[in-house]
Amino acid sequence: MRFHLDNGVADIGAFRQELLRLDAGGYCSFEGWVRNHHLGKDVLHLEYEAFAPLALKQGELLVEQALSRFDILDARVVHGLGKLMPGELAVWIGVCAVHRASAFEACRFLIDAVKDTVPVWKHEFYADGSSVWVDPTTCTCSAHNHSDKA
Amino acid sequence: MKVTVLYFALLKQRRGLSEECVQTDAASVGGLYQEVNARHGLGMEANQIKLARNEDFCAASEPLADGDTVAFMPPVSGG
Repeated sequence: MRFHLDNGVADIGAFRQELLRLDAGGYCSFEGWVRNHHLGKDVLHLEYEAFAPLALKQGELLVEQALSRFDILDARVVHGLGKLMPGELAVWIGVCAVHRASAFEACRFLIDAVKDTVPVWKHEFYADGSSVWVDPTTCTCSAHNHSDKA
Repeated sequence: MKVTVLYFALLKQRRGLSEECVQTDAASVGGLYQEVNARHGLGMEANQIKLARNEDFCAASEPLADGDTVAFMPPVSGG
């Protein structure tokens, strides 16, 4: 499996090791970190919920798409589940390729596609006691760079 | 027919359940959502949510069958 949901036990180093191949000249990795602020509010923690069977299916499909669209050798994606604190890893993506350009492109494609299509939802809990299920359709945070949605 | 409905995130919060069994005559997955929305006031229209039938994304027009499991999903916010 190339796409994984992690309840806190995933060994990212082991996934990187799976990508370490002698015919690869470039490796690109992305890490999505839990941030301690969003839209001006202090974030205490967040919780990710998933429709796991469909998330795994969709995640595998995305990695297959990356493998066919970009000149890469392999890729892995890990998405965190459950309660995460600021500073913890929400998403990890690794891509290896013969040359670096494709690795960068595929890595970018994967994080954008994961955010757009995988059935995972973020529940944010704030210092003022409030909490919200993040709605990507109304998020106006200028720091975001949402990919085009069809 | 008898269908299992799965709710996620904000829809789960509004319905107050993550899962339930419903009796329905709805012909499609979208039709079932409209039925459930009308009954419980989920606060989202069918065209605002994503639907799945038996662990596959589906269109609102997807025909419903006895024993199906459908999922009603708000816009995703992973990553």
